[in-house]
Amino acid sequence: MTLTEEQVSAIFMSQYAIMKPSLVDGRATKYDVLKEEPWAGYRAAQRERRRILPHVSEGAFPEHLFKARAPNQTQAELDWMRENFEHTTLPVYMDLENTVGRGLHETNWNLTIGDVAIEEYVTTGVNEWGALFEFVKAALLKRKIADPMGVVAFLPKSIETISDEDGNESVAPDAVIRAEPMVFGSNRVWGFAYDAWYLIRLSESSEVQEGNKKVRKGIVCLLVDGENVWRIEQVGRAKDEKFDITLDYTHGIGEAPVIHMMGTPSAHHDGLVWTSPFAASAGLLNVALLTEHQLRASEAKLMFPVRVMIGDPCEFYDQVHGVRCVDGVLAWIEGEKRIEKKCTACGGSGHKNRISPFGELIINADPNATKPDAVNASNALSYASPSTDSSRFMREEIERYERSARAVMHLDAETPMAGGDVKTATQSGLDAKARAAFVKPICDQLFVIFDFGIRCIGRMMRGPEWSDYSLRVPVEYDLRTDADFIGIIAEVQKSGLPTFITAMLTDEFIASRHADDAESLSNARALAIADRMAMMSEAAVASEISGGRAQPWEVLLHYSGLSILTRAAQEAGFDALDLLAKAERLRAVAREQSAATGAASPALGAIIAQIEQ
Amino acid sequence: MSIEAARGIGDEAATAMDAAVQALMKRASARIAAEVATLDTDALGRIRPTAANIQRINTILDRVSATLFDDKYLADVAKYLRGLNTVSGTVADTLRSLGADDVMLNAIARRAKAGAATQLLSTSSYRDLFGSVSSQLINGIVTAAEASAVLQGIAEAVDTSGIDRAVKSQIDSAPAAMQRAQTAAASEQAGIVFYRFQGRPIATTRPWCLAREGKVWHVEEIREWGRQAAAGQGWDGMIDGTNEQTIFTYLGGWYGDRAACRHVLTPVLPSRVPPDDMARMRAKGLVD
Repeated sequence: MTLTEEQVSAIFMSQYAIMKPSLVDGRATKYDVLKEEPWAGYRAAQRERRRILPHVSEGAFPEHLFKARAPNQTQAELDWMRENFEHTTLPVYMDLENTVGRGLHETNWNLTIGDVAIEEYVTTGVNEWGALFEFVKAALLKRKIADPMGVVAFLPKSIETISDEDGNESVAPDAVIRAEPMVFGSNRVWGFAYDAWYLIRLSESSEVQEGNKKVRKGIVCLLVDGENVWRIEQVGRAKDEKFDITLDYTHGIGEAPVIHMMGTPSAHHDGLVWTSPFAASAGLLNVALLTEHQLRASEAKLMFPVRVMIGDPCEFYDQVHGVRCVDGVLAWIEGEKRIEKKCTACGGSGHKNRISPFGELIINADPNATKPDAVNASNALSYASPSTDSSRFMREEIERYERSARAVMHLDAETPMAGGDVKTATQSGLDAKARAAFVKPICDQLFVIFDFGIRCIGRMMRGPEWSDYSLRVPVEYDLRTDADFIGIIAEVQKSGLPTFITAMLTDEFIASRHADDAESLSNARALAIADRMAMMSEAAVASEISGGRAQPWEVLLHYSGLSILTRAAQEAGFDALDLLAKAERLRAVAREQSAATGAASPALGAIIAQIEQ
Repeated sequence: MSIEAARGIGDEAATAMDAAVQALMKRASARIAAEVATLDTDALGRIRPTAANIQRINTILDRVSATLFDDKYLADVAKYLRGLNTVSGTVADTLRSLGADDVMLNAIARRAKAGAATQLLSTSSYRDLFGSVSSQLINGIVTAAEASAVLQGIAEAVDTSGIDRAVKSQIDSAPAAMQRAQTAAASEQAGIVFYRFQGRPIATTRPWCLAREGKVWHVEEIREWGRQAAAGQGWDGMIDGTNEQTIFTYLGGWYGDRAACRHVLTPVLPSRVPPDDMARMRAKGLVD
């Protein structure tokens, strides 16, 4: 869709009118006061973003959580919590990021670009990131999770220009536009029509007149359509609300190079709105975060218990005024005026200090003395501190909420709970499937954005018809960890299932571990094929050896496989062999080595040497 | 080195091998305990009297059997065989001057070493050990005994057991038996007829040996001792089966568990035979 300047102006003024109530110094901040939304779900998107950000990003303070005091909470306690805020729920997001990261592993996808210049730019030339995929992998996920209605725009940061005789700049006729990914939060998306146009508030501000002063508070927006990028800049006096609209440049790719970061699709009124897959967990994590800080505030108080000890009434006598301390006060009459002064001996407490210079509490030695304390050394002093039961309950609650948040995203399979039953391989398998199901749409959408980015970059460099690239994305994501595989294999071995099932699972494990290195994968598989005892249990291997059924070279291959593989791999042409030929070569090397040493083990070799002597 | 000194080295090798077997038992004890710990137990730590646990006994014994001989033990066996080589080498050096055939001496030594190694490296030499572990396991399972008590019982049994008694005896006797077999063969081959009954006396040296110690004897005199033994006119400590052939191997009889006394028969040239001994033999009509 290509807009005319009039249409651009109309769109901007319409959206500006909607956004105006929320603006402070030209920026949308008070979205709660908006009467009308610039797009369906704008307010909800901002609320969701605010809820999620503290759990995925450092520096985002959850003001909404700490706005109101809890019943019985003092203002000082609330202030302490604010001052000592920490992002204690971040590890949950880090687990999600690591899990998604496994799905994005380079071995899971493949990109081929026919145009060398575009390939070079996409794989190494993107400003700051180098490869476009690095941006997708490292920067996009966090923003996408926190703000799915935010957008990624593929636009150039600078374009080569030429100046005419009058000094007017214009885009050079042979300028190559190199687009870069730029992320804009949903609060900066002031309007859009899917795939047609996007109105984005830039972070920069223009200079406007406010009274007698020039201030940088003017609105600067870009409106991106299918052909052009329009720049809208506030000028003149701020209160005049006057805007310059200029055609910044033509990208000319036939579609707006802007895409939503996406999430879980949902219908909001009559429009499509993306919500975060993290949203369900955010509520639970909010509770965990708030409770964590309440607990920490409570702990801080418990750290300093109140000391309770016996005391004697202060007997200080003020010889100047001839009065005695009564309840910490010295009082006398001067003329007709009563004068009171805090006792200098007891500091106003009304009791004598019984703590010696070395910190001992002094009590009367003889309980039958004239003024007995009626106490003894063991009960003369105590500390008043509340029970820690409530603290323990809070800790359990925090862990429960965090566990629930992880469970929503199927991230709970990593570590068995201490003291609990270790998960069975079946459970691990189901968890792995559920986790893959949760991660798949996230990874799929990241690849959609990656694909869109390549298309935009290529078409801006070579024209709207360019499509000389092929991106193969994963159909399935295997997110099983080494521990998952080992658990499953161990259970299969114990279950008495046929050995070939163990072998198949082991092959999957090898494939997963060496997926990023074809040569390493091939060698590992060859070794597994060459060693006929590779899939046997330890007891079965021992039985083969003690029963004399295992040849010395087989024993050597079983226990020194890596050494044999290393030696074989040094031979010219080994890498070029197919799997079975490699396996056969490994067996041959094992036979050679076994024949050279003459025994399956050095210890046995020594015995044979002594007999042969 | 004299044959007698070499024989001392052989005895030391046999003693060291006994110690190595005891050390192996201690190591095996820990391994067996680990295997036994895999039995299914109840919440109170008692072994469940289940068919599965009974069936598991064989697996445990198989695993213990398969892993019994560790590298340390194999090194000890090699050391023991090195001791036999020392004995064999010294005997060969001594007998070579008498015209003994090296090939034959080597064949005797090789057979002795292979026989000893085979016995030391065969789990059938440890029948008592496995039998004891097996019966303790069965009793422990059927009586639902506490696993810790069964483990302790097995550990004690393993610690105090070892290689089967008969095998131990053969291993202990092997250095002396090999040396005597080599000596006898070489002497026969070289036509040697005079032997010194050699060895230092100890407190338990039996009268039969004491009467012969240090003297040179004619081969026919020695055979006669064997013939008398076979005819029932033996002596205290004599080994059953002693006759005119085996007397050269068994000589005075048992020394502790060893089927060979501490003495050796050393070939002597006619010119070195003491006059008293020569006179005794002449009186018997054995020499001119």
